[in-house]
Amino acid sequence: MNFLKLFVVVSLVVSLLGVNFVNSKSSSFERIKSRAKNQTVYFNAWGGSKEINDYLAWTTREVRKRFNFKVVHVKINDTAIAVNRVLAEKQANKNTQGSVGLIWINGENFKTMKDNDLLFGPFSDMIPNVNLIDFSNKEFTLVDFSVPTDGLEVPWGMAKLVFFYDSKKVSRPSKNMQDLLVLAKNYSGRLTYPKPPNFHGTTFIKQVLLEKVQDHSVLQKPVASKRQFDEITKPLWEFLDDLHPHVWRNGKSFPKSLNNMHQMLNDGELFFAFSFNPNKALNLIEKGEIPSTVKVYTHEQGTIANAHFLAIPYNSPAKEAAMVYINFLLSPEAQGRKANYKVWGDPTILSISKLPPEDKKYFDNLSKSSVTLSEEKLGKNYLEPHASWVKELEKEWLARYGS
Amino acid sequence: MFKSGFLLFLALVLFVFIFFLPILIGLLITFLTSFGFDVSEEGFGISLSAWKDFFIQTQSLPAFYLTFKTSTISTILSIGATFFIGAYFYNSKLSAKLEKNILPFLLSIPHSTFAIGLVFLIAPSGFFFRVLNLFFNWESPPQVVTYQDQGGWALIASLCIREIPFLLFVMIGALSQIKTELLALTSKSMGYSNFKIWTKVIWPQIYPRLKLPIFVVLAYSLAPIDMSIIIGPNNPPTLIILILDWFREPDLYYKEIASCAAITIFFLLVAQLFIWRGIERVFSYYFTAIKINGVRGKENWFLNFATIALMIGVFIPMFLSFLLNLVWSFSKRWPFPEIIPKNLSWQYWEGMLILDSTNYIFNSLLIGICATLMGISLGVLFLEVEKKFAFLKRIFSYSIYFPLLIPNIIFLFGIYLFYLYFDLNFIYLKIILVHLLFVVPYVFITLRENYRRYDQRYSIVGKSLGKNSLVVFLKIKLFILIKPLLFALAIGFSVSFAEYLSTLWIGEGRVVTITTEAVNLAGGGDRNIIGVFAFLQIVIPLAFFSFCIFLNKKLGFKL
Amino acid sequence: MALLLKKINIYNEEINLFKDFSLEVNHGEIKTIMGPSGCGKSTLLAFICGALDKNDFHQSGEIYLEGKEISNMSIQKRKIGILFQDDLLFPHMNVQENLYFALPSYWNRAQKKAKITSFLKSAQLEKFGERDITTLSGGQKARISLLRALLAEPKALLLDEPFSKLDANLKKEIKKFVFNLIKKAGIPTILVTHNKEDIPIKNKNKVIYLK
Repeated sequence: MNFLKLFVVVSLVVSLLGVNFVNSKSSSFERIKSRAKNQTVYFNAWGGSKEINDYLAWTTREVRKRFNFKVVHVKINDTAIAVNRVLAEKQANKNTQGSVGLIWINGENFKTMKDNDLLFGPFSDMIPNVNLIDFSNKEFTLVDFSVPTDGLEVPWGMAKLVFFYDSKKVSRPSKNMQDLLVLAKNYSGRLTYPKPPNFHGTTFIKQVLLEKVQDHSVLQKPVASKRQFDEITKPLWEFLDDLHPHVWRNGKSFPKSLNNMHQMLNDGELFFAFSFNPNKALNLIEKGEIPSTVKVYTHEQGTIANAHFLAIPYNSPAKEAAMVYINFLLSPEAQGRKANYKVWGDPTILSISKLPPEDKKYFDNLSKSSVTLSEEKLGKNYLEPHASWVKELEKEWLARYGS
Repeated sequence: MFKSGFLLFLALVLFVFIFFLPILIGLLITFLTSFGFDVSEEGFGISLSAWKDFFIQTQSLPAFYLTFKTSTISTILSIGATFFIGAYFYNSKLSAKLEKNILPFLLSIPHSTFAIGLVFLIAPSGFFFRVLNLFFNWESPPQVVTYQDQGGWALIASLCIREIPFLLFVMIGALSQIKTELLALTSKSMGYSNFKIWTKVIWPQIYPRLKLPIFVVLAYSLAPIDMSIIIGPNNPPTLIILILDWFREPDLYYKEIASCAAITIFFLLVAQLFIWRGIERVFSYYFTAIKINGVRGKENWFLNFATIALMIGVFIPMFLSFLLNLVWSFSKRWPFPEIIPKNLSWQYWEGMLILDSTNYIFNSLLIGICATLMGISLGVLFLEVEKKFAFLKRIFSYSIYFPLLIPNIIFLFGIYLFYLYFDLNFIYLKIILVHLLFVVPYVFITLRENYRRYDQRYSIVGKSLGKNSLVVFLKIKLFILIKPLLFALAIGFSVSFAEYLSTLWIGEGRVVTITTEAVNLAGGGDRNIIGVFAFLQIVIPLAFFSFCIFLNKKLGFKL
Repeated sequence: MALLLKKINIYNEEINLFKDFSLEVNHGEIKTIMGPSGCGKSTLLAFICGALDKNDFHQSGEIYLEGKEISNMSIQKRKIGILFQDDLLFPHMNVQENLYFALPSYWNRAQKKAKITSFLKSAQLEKFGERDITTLSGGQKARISLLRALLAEPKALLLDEPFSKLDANLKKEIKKFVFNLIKKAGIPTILVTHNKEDIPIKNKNKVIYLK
């Protein structure tokens, strides 16, 4: 853990230096603003959710009004496709008029872009509202799946693993994974997770791993050897071997995505589900997409948390407008609206307590509903393991359960 | 008008550049990519590493087996069902009704819409089990595997349900080209039963005309994208799902592995075609024997009932899947075991209207109409020159159908990389050009038989009355062919309208259409919105269809 | 000679239809060509009017119409009318429109109208101008079809089994109508048929038998 703390401190210092840099150059942001005018930003962002699409539609209208440039939400199914496009453009020497103006990204995709020099920046110190981000309490905003962000991407929102259970059908939530196994046996066939390498499916596996492994610092470093991997992940596979006979379809097949699971929870086929967004359950209940009897909980020792980010490809034709747009997305107004479960319900990465009162008001109407959990009740945060672990986990999972 | 030499030149140039080269280049790039070739890098070293890695992926072999299994079984079952359903109605008025009212509607339902609706129909918490629940009163939905099963049977069934109407439609067309009624009457007078007449007299005559559509069905069944995603097995999945998964991998090397899978599908297709030829030969031997054995047969009522049941089994799920989608678009929440939703709401439709939905509709219409008009022009041009130059007939008979006979992911993949490399702008034009690859064959199929049936003497009379070729073509030929032309227009439009992968890839995700949005949302699992889009996906092509029919009625010849 | 065929050769790899075939037809004369199906009657007519596909047959020989050689002209320029056993009225046009189609485009509207009215009247079809083709009887269609051919003012007329689809009663009437009109217009005509009854009574000696 020492390594991690040191790392966080160093990153903090770096970012603070960046803040000073920004203050001295607040006029430079004005210059960026003026250059942003009349540009068009092709914002490549996942488009599978109506709430998110509607929220983004609002932001594009606002920046159009306020800053006089255009943002087009390119609704993509999978971020990797956009990443690959930029990569292919680089190989094809399309170095100025790239098709991706701004990208919503994290994890492996960020690593790919960073490793292949596909990113513009570091630019986070040029964005004034980066100062408002709660770096100290949310250390996951500085590392993306254990890869340092290095100012090449700016955190936009956060995710934290929370579990759902239908209180009408299940008597109590689980305290930890071992306890979840007990519940799985009691409610046979009513629990499952999406099939890895689906992102959420892999997240579930990682959560099991993190609960089963004592020393998390190993997981922050790349996988050293196959032997080390086998040794460390042994309890994970043992657990899954025990669990699978009691899950949906006896673990012979798995749902395609978390959305499918929510649908099955709604249909009564499943009694359990989970989400990477603590406010998601409330939002789904409001829309009538899961039963109103669903309750949210986390495991005692903690659950995985991470951030999702915004990055600008090196060949973005509208870098200035992209930066002004990012600054707007990080504003208390936009963040407050985003955190509202009726709009999207994506938790803010800003430090609300540090905001001036006139900005705090944007977060006033955050829900006090019993379905959502307060910051304390959300419990501790587990950091994402290093990306190399993810790859190996997915491969091993497929080899064991994938055919 | 133009000299026929000029027309020939024009047709050949357009054929090669718009049609032939893109497919060839697409295939070639996909093929080379599987051997480690990178379009954007200079130099090219052959490497087998992608193939090696493809074969050692734990899911590859099971996926290969599943792909082979689902496509083979679904194709054979579809043909079998078509055969028996045809035996039942070939000599009745039912076929006209099917052709006019039922089948065009069923065929206009896009694959994705159908699959989404079907899942809701057959899922353990779905409509079918809700009806059963009236008698059983389960507390929670039963734990049965009805879709995404490991054996791929749900995929097989849904492919059959989707393809049988298509084959029936083509079959009715083929029946109208032979003298079915007279043949049946003659054979009946010799004491043959309806079924025996069908097997011995009618089917052998129409089978050659069904070959091509059967191959289209076969090719489609090897890589049905939307259906595999929604209803197919996923553990292990079929090859097409593996390709899409690998395509999404951030590591570009997986693209090479994906192209290996695409090439594998191609070889699978070739192998299946050979097997098919073999089966055909055995059958034709057997058929010759039974054709002349003189057995009259008796009317078999059981067979008739079984056929009716089969037809219901095919048509009802399709209608229901459409209806259920529609109901979902109006329901607020609709949990198990409610048979009809308690709370209805307009909110999803309102949301649709408020959103910048005009954008999707505009794009869909713009691309669809342009692609269709260009497709029709090309189709007519090809048909005109084919008539004048016999050697083209052979070329077109095979090559025009390439895009339908090769699972399109194989060459789309290459075309995508090609466009990327050459940095061609004009994004809409690119999409339209790629849509043409699918519009032209369908237009060609729809028009060809009618075009050939056109009585040349009309043109001769027209010309002998002193009018030039252009006038005769525009004022007589086009008008006499107006029905098939408008029908082809409607078909072409719905083909373009339903294109998903090509629009997404070539449009770089920037150009959204109703269909890309619908499939996109299908991934999000929100049945209400899916319902709205699925409905639009059917209604807009249908509206276009009706518009064409309206035009057909209105378009009188004016002096 | 109004219509003259000189040394016509029509053949392909499979069949040799005509070898050095010659024929003369005078104004108002109806020459009948008879023979079994497949002997090349219709092919000959197609050749004369210029509709025979060069890809299907090798063809040579000279055709003169009123002294002018027309062998190398397009169908449009030959001014030869043709009638088939099917009426081939354009189904998307009504009776009038079919007739209008045959008139030269440079005529003005009034001229066209007057001409068509008088033609319809002469055939006692004056009330049928607005009628849809599909509502006409076989005899009416046959008559209008001939009117249409004549409106284009052809210098020769080719009849390809024009009566074979008509029933016996009607046939008599139509034959009379057709032959009278041709005689009145004085147009050289070739009639192709496989039925002896179709031959005009006064022309029994003007029959050519093909094998």
